[in-house]
Amino acid sequence: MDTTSVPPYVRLANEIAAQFHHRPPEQAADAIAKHIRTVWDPRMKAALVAHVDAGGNELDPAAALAAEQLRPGR
Amino acid sequence: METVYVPTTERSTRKYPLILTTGRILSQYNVGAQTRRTANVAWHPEDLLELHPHDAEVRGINDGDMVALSSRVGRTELRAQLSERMPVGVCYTTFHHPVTGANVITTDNSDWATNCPEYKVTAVQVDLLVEQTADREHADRQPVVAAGN
Repeated sequence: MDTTSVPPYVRLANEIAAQFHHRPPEQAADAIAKHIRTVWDPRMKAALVAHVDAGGNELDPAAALAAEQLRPGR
Repeated sequence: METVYVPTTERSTRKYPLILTTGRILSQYNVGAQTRRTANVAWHPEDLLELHPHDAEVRGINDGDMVALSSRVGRTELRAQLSERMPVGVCYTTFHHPVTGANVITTDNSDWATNCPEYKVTAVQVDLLVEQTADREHADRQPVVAAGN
């Protein structure tokens, strides 16, 4: 796998999302957001949200859904 | 939290046909930063690449030869040790000596929950170092000194 083509936070979010592909998208997004909210550095969370705002290139759909839950104020 | 088995994305290919797994040995602690300063270093003076004799033979590698170890991520050089405890297609090395740069070879893959790097599955190729081969051939061409000279 070429790990250099996407930013690290996108790669990591996709790896987390892969663990929850067996769940419905909404449930998967909840689980992904819970994990990211718990263990990620705030700068990485902000970068992920900014990536979604910029089009979400190469980001797993479930991870993109999860990123919506990570917006400030949510 | 319930998850399913998700296989690694790392794959062996014609270019990188072997799987490298890295690990520790008993005489060194973690990366060896402390134990390399002790007499323990006598038990482990350098990191070796353990390789099955068949994988070595098809590459022209003899026990003790210096080899190039390369993956999609990086490349390093270390000494080969032929070992039948390795299955064909798998090689192994330790990461106790910084000069080896074993972690230059491994990928960025990691466990989703802990971010523990995937140090056990890296597709690699092993090649005999060319400079060494040239030296050996040069040595083979040296005239044999007759007895009594």
